[in-house]
Parts: sequence; structure tokens; C-alpha cells
Amino acid sequence: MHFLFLLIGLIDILIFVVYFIKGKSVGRNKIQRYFALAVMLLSIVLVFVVFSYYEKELHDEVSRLRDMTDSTNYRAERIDSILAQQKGRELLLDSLSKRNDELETILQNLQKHEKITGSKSGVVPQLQEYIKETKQEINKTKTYNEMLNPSEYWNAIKNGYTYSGNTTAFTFYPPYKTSENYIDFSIRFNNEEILEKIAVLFLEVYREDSDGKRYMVYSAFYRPQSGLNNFMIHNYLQQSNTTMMIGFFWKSELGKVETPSYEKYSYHF
Amino acid sequence: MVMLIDILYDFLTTHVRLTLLLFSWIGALIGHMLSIYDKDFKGIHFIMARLFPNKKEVFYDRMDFILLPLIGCVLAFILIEPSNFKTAFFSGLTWSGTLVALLKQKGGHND
Repeated sequence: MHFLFLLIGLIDILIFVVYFIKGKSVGRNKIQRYFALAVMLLSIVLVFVVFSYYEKELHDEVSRLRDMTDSTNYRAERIDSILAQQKGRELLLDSLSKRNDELETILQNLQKHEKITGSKSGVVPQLQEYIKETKQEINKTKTYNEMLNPSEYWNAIKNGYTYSGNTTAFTFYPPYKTSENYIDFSIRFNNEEILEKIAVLFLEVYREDSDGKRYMVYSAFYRPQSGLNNFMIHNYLQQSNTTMMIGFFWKSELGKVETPSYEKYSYHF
Repeated sequence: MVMLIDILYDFLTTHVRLTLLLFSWIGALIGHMLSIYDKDFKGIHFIMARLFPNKKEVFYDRMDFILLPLIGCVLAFILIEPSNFKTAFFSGLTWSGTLVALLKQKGGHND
């Protein structure tokens, strides 16, 4: 389509140049006259054709966008459950990046087609909003702490660990929404110089029964990071008598002493 | 070739007003070209002959070719204010045709 348009355009320019040089005498030759007429009329028809093509392209891009956005719901439980696993996060990041690239491409195409056709698709503001949300999801997903292989660390605490009270080494930011199936929460170290001395972050959820016995419900190890440390877990805390502890072990103690000290913060609903 | 088309496409969609003027001018040129089928049509030769007397016929044809489409495209662009490439092209084409018709009425014939 574009090649044809370019070709006809070049022939038009050639005819204009010949006319400019020879003047009206170019019309005396029958072949030249009818060739010029045919090219001019073809140019007129081609403008219609190309314009219709871009109108169709605009319509197709809008349909493509609708197909993309109708099939995804970022707040679905399956996304939250993916975020709670390391491999899932990596796949999700990859998927979100591809989605973001596709949305940016659709936006660029839509803006160009709208300029050519002069018509508004009406979806550009909504599309810009989708792109903003996708970028926010990407940033949010990237900020979650990396989950580590527990087998590397369980051995170091197989004899147990000691703790007392809540640590002041970091500030705990509790989850905003406590009724959903998955909860987000964060911690920020008050002095980030201690990050070099931390071996691993440890999260444990336990339930205490009426006899005072504790049962571990969930546990995970995370790599500490500077700034906000973000976590997402299944909302075990909705169950009664369930408490979560988030904290860390020192490098100087983990794997070196029999029962390392666990600097932790306890939280429950 | 694909790169050239991409560059051209990017340019056309970035400088929209310039592109609309360009399409208007191309429409006016094509409209003017169609006037070569009327052997008696002399355009603004009568004005040019007074301003630049004793010139060759081809000189007046060239002045016609430059000025008439230019006037047509500027008038079309200002009066019609086309919003897309199609209306820009056809506004140039129709105004050029209107000017040609007006000049025929004004006695642009070679009497």
C-alpha cells in the first residue's frame, strides 16, 4: 500500500516537473496528455484508498486494545498467588513488560492514525491510564523481596532460635487491606548500615492452640534490600490465634551458633 | 525503502499542520494539471502579460503553475481548515478547480 502510494507520488512529481519545464505544450501529445490524466485520477483514487486503510487500521488498533484489556484483571487472586512465589514473580515481570511494550506500541499507532484520519478513537486517555497502571504494577512487582531457597537456611536453625520482644532495627508497615486473600506489608530498616551484617530475612506464621502449643503455618526466607522491603503472603492471619513474625538473623550467628537470635517483629490482626 | 517510508510517515504525523498544507497544495496542483485539457484556458496569463510583457508562452504557463495552485491551497487551508489529510487534499483540489472556473468566466481565454 505504502509502496504504491510512494510510486504514484513520485510519478506525480515527475509529471509536475515535466509540465513546469515544457508548459502547456505537454498536453499536445495525446499519449502524454492521457498518461498525465490517468496518473492524476489514480492519485485522487489512491488518496481515498489510503485514507480508508488508515481508518481501518485505527479501528483494528482499538479492537486490539479492547481484546488485551478485557482479558486481564490485575487484582485477580491468581496474580496475588503468583506474586507470593519467586518464579511466579519473574514470569509476571516478564509478562508485564511485554504487555507494557505492546500497549506503548498501540498508543503510538493510535496517535499517528488519529492524526492522519483526523478522527478521535476516544481510547487514548484510557490507554494512557492502562500504561500507567502497568508501569506501577511492574515497579511494585520489582520491589518485592527476592525469595530464597529455604533448604540453604533451615539447617542453620534446625535447633531453633531465640527471640525476645519486638526489634527496633526496622519499622514495620502493616497491610492496608486485611480482608483479602493475600496481604502486602513492608519493613524499612532504620539504619541501613546493618544490612551488610544481616544474613537473611525470615518470615514465620504460626497458630497457637488452646494448650499454648505453636504450629508453624508458613515460613519463607528473603534477601534483604535497601529502602522498602515488600512482602506478599496468603492471608493466614484471618484465622484465629494466628501470628506472623518478620525479622532477620545476623551473619555472625547464622550457622555459627546453635540457636541464633531472631530479631523480629510480631503482628496479628 | 521501508526505512524511507517510516521516516516519511513519522515526519508527516509529527508536523501535522505542515502536512495538511502540503496535501492541500498537492490537491491544488492536481486540480491545475487537469486544466491542461482545456486548450483555450489561459489562467492568469493576462495579468502576467501586463507585469512581464514579451515573454515566451512557457513562462506564463510556469507562472500559472506556481501561482494558481499556491493561491488555491492557501485559500483552501484558511477557509476550509481541513482536519485530516483527505479533506486537505480535496479542499486544495476543489479550490483549484473553483479558481480555474472563475478565471474562465473572467475572460482568461485567448481572444
